[in-house]
Amino acid sequence: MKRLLHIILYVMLAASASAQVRVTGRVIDLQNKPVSDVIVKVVSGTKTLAFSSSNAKGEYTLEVKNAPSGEVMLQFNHISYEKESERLSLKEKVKKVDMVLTPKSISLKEVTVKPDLLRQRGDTLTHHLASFLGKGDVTLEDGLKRLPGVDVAKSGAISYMGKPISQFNIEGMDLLGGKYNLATRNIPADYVTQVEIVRNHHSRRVEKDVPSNEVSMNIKLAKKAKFKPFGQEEVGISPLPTSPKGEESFTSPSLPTSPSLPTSSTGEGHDRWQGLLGVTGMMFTDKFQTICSLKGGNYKDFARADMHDHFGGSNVTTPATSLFGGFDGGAPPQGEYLYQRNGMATLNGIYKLDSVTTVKVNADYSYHRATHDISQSSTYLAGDGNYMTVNEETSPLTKVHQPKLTVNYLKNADRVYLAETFVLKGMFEQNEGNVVANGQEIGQHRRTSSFGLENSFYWSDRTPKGTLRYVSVPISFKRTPTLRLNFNQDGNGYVQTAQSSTLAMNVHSSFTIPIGRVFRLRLPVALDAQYDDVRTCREATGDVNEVRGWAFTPTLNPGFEIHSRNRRFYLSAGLGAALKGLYYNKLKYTKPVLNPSVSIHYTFSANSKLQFSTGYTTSIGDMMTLLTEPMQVDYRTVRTSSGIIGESNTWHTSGEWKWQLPMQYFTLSLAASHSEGKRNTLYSQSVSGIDISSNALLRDTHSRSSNFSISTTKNIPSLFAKLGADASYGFGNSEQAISSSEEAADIIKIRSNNYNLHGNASISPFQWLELRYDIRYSWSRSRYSEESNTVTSLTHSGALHFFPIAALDLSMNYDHVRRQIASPLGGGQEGAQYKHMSLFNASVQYKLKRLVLRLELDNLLNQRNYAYTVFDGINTYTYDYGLCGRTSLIKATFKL
Amino acid sequence: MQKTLVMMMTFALTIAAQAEKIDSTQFVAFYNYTIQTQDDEGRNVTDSLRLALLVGTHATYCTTVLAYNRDGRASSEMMNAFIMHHQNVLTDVEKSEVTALEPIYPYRYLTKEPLAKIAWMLEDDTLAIGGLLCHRATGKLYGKQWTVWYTEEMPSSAGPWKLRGLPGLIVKADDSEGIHCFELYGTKNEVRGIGTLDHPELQKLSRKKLMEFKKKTLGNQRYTKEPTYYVAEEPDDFGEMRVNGVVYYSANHMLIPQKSHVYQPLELE
Repeated sequence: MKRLLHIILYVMLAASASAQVRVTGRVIDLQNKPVSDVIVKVVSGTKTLAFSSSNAKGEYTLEVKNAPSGEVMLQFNHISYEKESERLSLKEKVKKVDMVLTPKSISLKEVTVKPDLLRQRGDTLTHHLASFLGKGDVTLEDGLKRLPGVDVAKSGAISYMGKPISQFNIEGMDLLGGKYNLATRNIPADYVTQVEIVRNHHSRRVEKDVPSNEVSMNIKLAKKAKFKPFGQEEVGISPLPTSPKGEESFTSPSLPTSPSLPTSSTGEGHDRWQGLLGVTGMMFTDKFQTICSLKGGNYKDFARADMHDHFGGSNVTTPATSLFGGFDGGAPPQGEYLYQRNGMATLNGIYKLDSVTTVKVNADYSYHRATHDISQSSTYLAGDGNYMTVNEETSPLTKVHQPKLTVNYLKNADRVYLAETFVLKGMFEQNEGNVVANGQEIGQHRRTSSFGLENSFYWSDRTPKGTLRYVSVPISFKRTPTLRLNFNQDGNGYVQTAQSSTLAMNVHSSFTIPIGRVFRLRLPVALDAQYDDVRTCREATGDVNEVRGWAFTPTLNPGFEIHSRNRRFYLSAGLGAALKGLYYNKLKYTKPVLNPSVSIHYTFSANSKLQFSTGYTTSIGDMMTLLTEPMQVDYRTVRTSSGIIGESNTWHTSGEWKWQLPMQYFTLSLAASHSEGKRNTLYSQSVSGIDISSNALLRDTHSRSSNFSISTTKNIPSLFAKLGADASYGFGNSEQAISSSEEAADIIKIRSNNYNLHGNASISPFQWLELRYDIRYSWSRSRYSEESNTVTSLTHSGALHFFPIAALDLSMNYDHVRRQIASPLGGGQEGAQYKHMSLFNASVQYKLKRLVLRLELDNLLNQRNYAYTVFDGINTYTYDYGLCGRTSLIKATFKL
Repeated sequence: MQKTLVMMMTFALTIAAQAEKIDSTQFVAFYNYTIQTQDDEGRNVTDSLRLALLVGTHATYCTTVLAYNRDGRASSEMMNAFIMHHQNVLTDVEKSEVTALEPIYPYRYLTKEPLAKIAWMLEDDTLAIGGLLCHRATGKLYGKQWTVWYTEEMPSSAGPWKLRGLPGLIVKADDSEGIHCFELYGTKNEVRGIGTLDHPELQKLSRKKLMEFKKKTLGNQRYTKEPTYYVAEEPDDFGEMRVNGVVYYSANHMLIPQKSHVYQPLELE
């Protein structure tokens, strides 16, 4: 045995010795004098295998370990001599190479290392924010809009190369969760030094070697923003020249004028003055961070915008509120249309217990009250082949109170992850949606209160052998004790009520066991259990639904992962076996399903990645389909569920390639996806008078859709320019049924296709001028039977910023929209009706060190309507929104 | 005004006058040197100092930008040079020797040591710093682990302080504790002489002894509040001057800090 060990040792030593090559030599100049401090290195491709430098005698020695079999380069570098190199074959164990260097005639280029615009390290891109800022930029959000590949939506949602960020950190700490508008809209841009974008982000460090598709953002603050409290105070006021129902009463240009609306929200809450007041304080230290804010006003969504939760979860959605929504009437894509009052108070704090453990508390309260005017024309395909049109005018009013408290404990270490989150939230809504429909006056009123309690626990660890395991147990209880809808028509009132309670528990656990360096076995198990108790009552007819019971879904998803040794290729596959069970009232429904999936990532380089995924999913209907008694959803919609447990099978495939050249400030992404679906029920629409009812028929239905998109951005730092372009094309088909109470249903096959083109540019050719331009064109067509409807839309948006002095920003924004509002029956473009609309805003901003004064002049052309048409399969909806008239506001923001 | 300015460089110029020229610069590299430390109240502070690295064909000399510019006026940056315990370092590859000159009030100390061979580990990681493509390397010098980024676009094995020996100029260097950081901010082509460091008034001792002396003296708790606590007798030329409203004290051509920051040694062994 001992002898065997000696032999093995000898063979190993011999093998290692054979792979090591020594290169020696002497470096001299043309006068035969030794040259010292010459950098001598052996290079294979771009990789340096070994290096050394020459001594006072010009001698050098290099040891090349694991010498490659092919040729390598031996390079000689010295600042005072020309660079020399020689090809070398490392077949012998000792090589001797002498070199004669020639003095250099050209000196080195001088270098000035400025703060980098951009640094890349692995998956992290670090932007030096000040290098990107424009003169008029005030908040962090203004600065983020200028970064290459970064897009900030109107809601404040941040995305990088089309991917919304999944985490927003300040100095490495996640203080705000999805409510990061509080930071981006309140932290001054000059208080932030760096913005880091981390691709392939892992919110749980234990999973750091698992490929991720997430993107996160981390901001680093300037010294002046650290260790001392700071903040800002905002105040603004203006008169409101015209109210929506004031002297200039609202009339629709395209629809017949209606008589005055019944007593509802008309005139209510339309203030004579607009104003805003807010104070935000914050403090960031190494261990503690806080942002507190108190805001209120009736100017746009001043306070509400800060409370937008980009990761969702702030609303309380229950079966009752899902069944009976409000009457908010949607939103136009452009123009200010809401008259609103909103207020909020928020306290957020995070404390670092140690380098990996934090405790976080977020307490919020928000209030929102909004009203607007809308005329809507809905054309429905009736069962007899004719069309039925309903013209409606309404001014929906919504009031929402939302309190929320979140407490989170997080330990995020390299080997263990532990998160415990407790959430208590409420949502108290009141809606009024009085309407004039085809000359008839109907009153609608909705009031509901909901609350939710959630507790989620997540534990994960990685053993020394690399096994990754986790347990996740989120438990939630949501209840709507009262939801009441009141309708009033011709002096007759009728009521619809609903209550619901839901207890949900989702226990998920998984073990990932490495087998070798490349292969991993994964065994996730899950149990999703949900108890529902839903009751609806349509008091006028005595229709009552009462459904209570459990839904159980145990899932076993054995799978494997292959991660190549060079970490470029990654494949993950799972079987997705589940048993879907519904046990409501007398129903006992159990169905085994198999949902296999495959995901492949290939990393060409840190800047070029290809992703592909395909999967088959089966969705089973829920207890909502058991609500078989009629429910009055709004004044003209009665919903009746079929009692048939729907089953939908979808096969979805998608691929995406992302390429970026950070140092050239260039990003490009290409994506394609295809879905095919089959469902055992068919949505059926029935029209009777102005009443619309919907049902599900027991019939197999198929749908198919494909989408392609391309998106690119390019920054030119010397011009302070950012250019972007994106395009998409999609097509698909689906089926729908039309039925009347007397006749059998007609099956309609609908084919649709659409494309969108979008380009934008911002450029600052001179220090005193900045221009922005955005153009968007969309085309969509839907065809069914003999009908073909085509709609186009072209939007130009331009902005000009003029800086006569550095602190003064004069800006003008212009939007011009050409939208189709009607398409002639029979298709084609002849006879199509278009509407041209122009919106023009201007502002003056004077920026001092601690004070920003801003005068905003909105809708200077006094455009009072915004109309557009949507073809939704067989139905056509034309919306005409009343826009807020000319407004002005003077606002002051003080840095505290 | 002239009276309020004291030419602190007198001594340095004396040394320069007596120096023997050993090389000429090919270029000069400028670095920002920062130390993360605490003040006498325990608050976190960052001290910073600009350094000039004169790179010759076989010798380099790392000094302050103030000394490079022959600016001897008392200033906060000059005070930082004393608080941060900056060493002027002369590296001579031909002699395979490093000479370091450090003022520790009230004396100046000169040490000589053999050129340290740092076993740098080259890594595949790259980073663009200021448009220079940099490669990552790690190595240990005098008990501290360093992570450095070097650029092959500047074919010199030089670096700030005693860090050197890579196949390109060091652009950034951080110690593993995040205390010391050297970062390049520019280079300039200039021909200047690089001379030896010698003067009869210098206190000569070994690197180890100086390190132990600093550890014992500057590592004492009293040091931050009373930086000269260990001085038994003030020198004869003790002076006071006011520059831009700030009062500086000097003696023996050195500024005397009244308060200091926690000593953060560059060498542990």
